[in-house]
Amino acid sequence: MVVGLSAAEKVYIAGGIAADIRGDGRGRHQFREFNIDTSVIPQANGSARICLGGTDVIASVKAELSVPPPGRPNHGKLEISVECSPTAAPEFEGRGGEELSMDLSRALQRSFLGGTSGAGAAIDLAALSIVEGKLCWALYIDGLVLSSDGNLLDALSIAMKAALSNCGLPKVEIIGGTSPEEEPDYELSGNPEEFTRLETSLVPVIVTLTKVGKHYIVDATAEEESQMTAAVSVAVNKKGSVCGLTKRGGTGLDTSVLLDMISVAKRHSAVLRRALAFAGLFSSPNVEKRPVSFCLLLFRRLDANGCRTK
Amino acid sequence: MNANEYRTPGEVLGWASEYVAGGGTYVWNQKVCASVVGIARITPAAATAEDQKPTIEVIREKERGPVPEPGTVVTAKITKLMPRQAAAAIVCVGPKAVREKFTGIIRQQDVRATEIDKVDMPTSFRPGDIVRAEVISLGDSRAYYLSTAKNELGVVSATSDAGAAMVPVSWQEMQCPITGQREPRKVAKVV
Amino acid sequence: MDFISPEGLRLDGRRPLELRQLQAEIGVVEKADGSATFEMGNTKVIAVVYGPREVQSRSQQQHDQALVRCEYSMASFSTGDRRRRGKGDRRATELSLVIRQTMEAAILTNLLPRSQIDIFVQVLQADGGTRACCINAATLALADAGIPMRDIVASCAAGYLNSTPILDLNYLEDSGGGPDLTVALFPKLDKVSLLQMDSKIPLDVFEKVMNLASEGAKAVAQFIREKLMENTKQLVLAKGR
Repeated sequence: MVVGLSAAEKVYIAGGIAADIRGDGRGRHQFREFNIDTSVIPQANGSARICLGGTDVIASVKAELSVPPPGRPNHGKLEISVECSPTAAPEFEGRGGEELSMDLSRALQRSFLGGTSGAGAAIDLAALSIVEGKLCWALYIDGLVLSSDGNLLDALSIAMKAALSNCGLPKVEIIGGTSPEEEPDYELSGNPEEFTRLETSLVPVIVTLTKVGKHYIVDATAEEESQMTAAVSVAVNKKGSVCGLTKRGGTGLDTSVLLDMISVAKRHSAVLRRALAFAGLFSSPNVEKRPVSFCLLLFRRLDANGCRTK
Repeated sequence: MNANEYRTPGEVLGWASEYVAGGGTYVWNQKVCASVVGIARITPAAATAEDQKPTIEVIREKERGPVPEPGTVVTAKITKLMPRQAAAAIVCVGPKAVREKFTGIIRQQDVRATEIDKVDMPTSFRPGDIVRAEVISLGDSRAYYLSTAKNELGVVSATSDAGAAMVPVSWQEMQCPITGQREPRKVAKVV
Repeated sequence: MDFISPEGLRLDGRRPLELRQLQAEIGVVEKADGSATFEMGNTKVIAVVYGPREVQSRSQQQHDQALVRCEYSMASFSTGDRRRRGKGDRRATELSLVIRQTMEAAILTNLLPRSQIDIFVQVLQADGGTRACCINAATLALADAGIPMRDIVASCAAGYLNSTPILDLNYLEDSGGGPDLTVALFPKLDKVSLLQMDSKIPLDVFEKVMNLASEGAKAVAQFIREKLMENTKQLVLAKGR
């Protein structure tokens, strides 16, 4: 519902960023405070909701038993999709949100799924295999944008990482049929205490750096995004390696600036991951699936190096 | 009926024979009912009013974006000039910025108060000018009708060809501080 | 299948005439004019209202009343088995229509000519009674947006299983094969706005089930009113008066 920005507002946004104090009082390299709720969808194996300022997204992980993909008998499946609900903006009504949904899904797939062979995927696909060539887990990661105020990609990646960490796979007991000729025969464990967790330490988080004027900022709001000349989204995992990169916006970037942006993104991702790990302490894929809420109010006062600033 | 209580839609506030239904209420089966959530207020009828019934209204707590109404002064940006009228986008109603798009039209006869038949649109406004104007009517289905036919209404901010903000020099001219060139406008006398 | 135990308890431990736990929150989407989430047990719906605003396509403009539009969508993870739903699927289209007609009956559309009101309902979790839950969420969102209404609309479902009328069915009971009756009413005006039922029941049983659903809807209405009052009081507090 934003009625195009006036000239004065544009100057105010650009000027604020140049002076390292933005409209809401943040510096260029400060995130908004955010709130993570886990286990918000009881029907899913894992789920998380994150409110980052006015941005509100839900991610859910559903696990289904499936047949391994052709050519890779010892791998499971991983799929990612994003949907933009018309609740976020009336323009998303009907097919209006599809373009943005596709854009976001592609960026997330690039960062989470690795190559076509499954190498470099965020989750070890071999760990999802149950009976080689016959049975495996298929994980469906769904993102839903409920409200949008900029920086959707970062919010979605954080929510998906939290949902994956929250995800518990029920134990599968193989009763028979392990020989190549027979159909596999299995039983899902009814005991909710018996589940395996996913190894999620290598799931990346995405940090988007938005260039407005001469400077770049993290966690841009919708208004700031409307003034961007270019944006670079960098997915970084625990090891500090870059897992995916997406550049948007019309203006070209100097290679040296790009490298600088990547190193800044790396620093931020470390802080985000630490915050997520902290949130993870309070949530587990428990029996009752009680929602666990964790508010990262402290986070606002952490700078890119993870230190508390005044 | 008790005043100053919170009411939700559908709640009966009183008999239509005893009260006048004000804002946020409606009459159904001779009863005045609330139609929005808010606080109920009763105002006694003015002493001069013919009907001596007090008015009930329900006042909302949550504020909405402002909407132009006839009689209000708005700030608008000229978007398009035509031989007999100028189109404008309303940006503020009174001191408040609007949240949605409202378009306004300033017709040739509404530009100034005198010699209204000799108004030339291009010497009154240029696209991009910021004007203060009064809403004279809801207009047609497309736009509000605006008027600048008062001393304090007209162009309040405009940029010259050189790109500088111009200074008013008379009620029909503005001057560029860089080039010194004068451009014709219907200038507002800002008080 | 036994839906009611010999002790008279249902599968989820409720008594036959008991509602699930209700929860609601108003003002969940900042940018929208009105928004609310509504939960009935595990069914959770978010409704958002944009408007009244200018009509987007001029051909649909009505010069004597407001144009009310509604879109219903289901999140892909909202049901037990994951399924990607196209927006144009028949169920969604039907529900959009049902919600639109129900809400249109409540809105004083003649007060807002030449304008448009958009209602978007998004199901986050489906566990039976989504129809009723959507209508309740939409009422809260419309009230939050300050759109003048004749009365609030409250809705509830009821069914008939194991020769017992039961209130507010969950998914298991819903798929139990018995009739499922959804009613939406204006509690103060005491008028029914929506009535839908599938399968068949004798007329005298229908009356019982219908009365039960109406009673349920009235209880929901009471809850909605309390939530609206609470929210208004908080707004007053926030203003510091």
